[in-house]
Amino acid sequence: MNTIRDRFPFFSHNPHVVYLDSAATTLKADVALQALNEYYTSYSVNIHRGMYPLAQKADLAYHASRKKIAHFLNAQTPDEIVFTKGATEGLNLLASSLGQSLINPERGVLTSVIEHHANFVPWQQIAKKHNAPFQVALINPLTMTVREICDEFEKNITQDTAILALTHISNVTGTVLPIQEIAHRARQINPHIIIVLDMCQSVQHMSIDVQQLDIDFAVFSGHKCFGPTGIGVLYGKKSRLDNLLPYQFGGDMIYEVGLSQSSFAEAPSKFEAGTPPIAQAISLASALEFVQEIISSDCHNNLKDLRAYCVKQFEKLFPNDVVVHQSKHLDSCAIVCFTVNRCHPHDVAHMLGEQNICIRAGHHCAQPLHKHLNIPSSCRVSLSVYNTTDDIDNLMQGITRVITQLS
Amino acid sequence: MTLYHDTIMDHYRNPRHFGCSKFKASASSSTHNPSCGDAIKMQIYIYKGKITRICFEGEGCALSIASASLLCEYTKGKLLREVQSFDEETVLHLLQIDVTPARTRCATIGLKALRQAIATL
Ligand SMILES: Cc1ncc(COP(=O)(O)O)c(C=O)c1O
Repeated sequence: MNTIRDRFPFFSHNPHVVYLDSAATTLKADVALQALNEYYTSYSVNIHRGMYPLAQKADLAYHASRKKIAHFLNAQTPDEIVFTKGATEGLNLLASSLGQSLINPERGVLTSVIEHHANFVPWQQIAKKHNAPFQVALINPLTMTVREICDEFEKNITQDTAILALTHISNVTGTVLPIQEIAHRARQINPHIIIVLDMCQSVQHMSIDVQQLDIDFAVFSGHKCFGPTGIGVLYGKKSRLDNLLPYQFGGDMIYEVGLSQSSFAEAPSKFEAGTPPIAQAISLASALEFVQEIISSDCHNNLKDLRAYCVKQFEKLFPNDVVVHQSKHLDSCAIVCFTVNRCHPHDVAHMLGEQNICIRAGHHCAQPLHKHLNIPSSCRVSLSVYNTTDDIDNLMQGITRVITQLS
Repeated sequence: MTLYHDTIMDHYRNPRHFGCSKFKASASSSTHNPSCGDAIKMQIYIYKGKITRICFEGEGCALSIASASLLCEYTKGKLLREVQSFDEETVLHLLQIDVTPARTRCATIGLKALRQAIATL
């Protein structure tokens, strides 16, 4: 029988690996790998201004990819899709360009304490550079209700909050934030607020509709949704992108270059200086088609059940040893964050690693959150479509060994 | 090969020179590893150019506690001059393991504490 696992060549190379680290990066889908390989082996030529058929083929594939991604996110036009090298670059682009035009000592940035460093440090630093206020909503993704979370954001938003940058799903606890409600309340207070959404942990799990979410910008990385490394997407409302200053300069982002002045191309080209990651952009569209396929199948529900099974097993088998850190009131998606009493997360993850079980331990690039929750560091299991209850059972056996070994 | 071999587990479960003293040390330091929140305090006592006593305390993973413990054991009785030349190699040799980049900070937190203490002299 063909299973979803067969779509991941990784497993034929690593049949015994229990891979539970998909929030760090997912495994790569066959269609994404085929697209990469096809470009590299059969039409690996540069795009833009090529007059020969192969260049046109590459050009078309690159632009078709943009179109498919626009469709996937329900963006209004493909011009709202900018290719970046990853979410981190997208956020730095936004911080730098929005920072230059929008923030000043009166008007600042609001983010939250649960953010990945990629959606925290760029804003913190740009605020510092422009002497602008930098505020952090102290939400608790474990204990707060939707209402309390919205209230916490609301408390921090004023007419002078220029930018609100927040994550869709916490990469540590898996908590799904009520984006639409937060956006709605934010715009009631300040209709001009720019909302930036970090979708790194959501695009691979749910259908995204950027118009319905009512956000101005969003970012994600290809490697977290079954695609290649080195590619990411920055979505921006057309009007917003048009007003945004370019971030890097060079080839393909210009309109005309003179000795002392240059003018720039329109979005999205304005933000894609230099030869872009062509193969990765083409492959990403295939990866997202795969995401579309699994979202419309029942895989998504299976993943929910699998997560619930994981939590249930932790509670059943290790009631006194394992603490699961999950939201009491909000949905959690695909991630189980936990600590093992008297066992350091690094040791837990390392010892599981020695048993071929891949999880992650540490602060998961979210130091402010760990400090806020008063947990020095944590273990994180993150699931994807290729995981099964066998993986969870193996994990539980692994944890039993770890506890025996460490105590 | 497991990282958690007997020597490491032994030094993790029964760290040597564990517990700082209330007597004023010749030098002391507090260091932490922001990647996991581990923190270690270390004190050294020097007499006539020699480390006559060394102790540490703190919380951490098996690797960081074991490496600090092994390092203290190795350092005690040595000349300050010698100790100043300790480096990552010294620690890895004591641990008898290869440490991957992800665990280097754990394995060297004791060394960092020792160096910081010496730097205050
Ligand atoms: C929520 C979140 N934001 C941003 C990032 C950064 O993504 P990348 O490292 O691919 O740029 C990650 C990756 O771990 C993440 O989980």
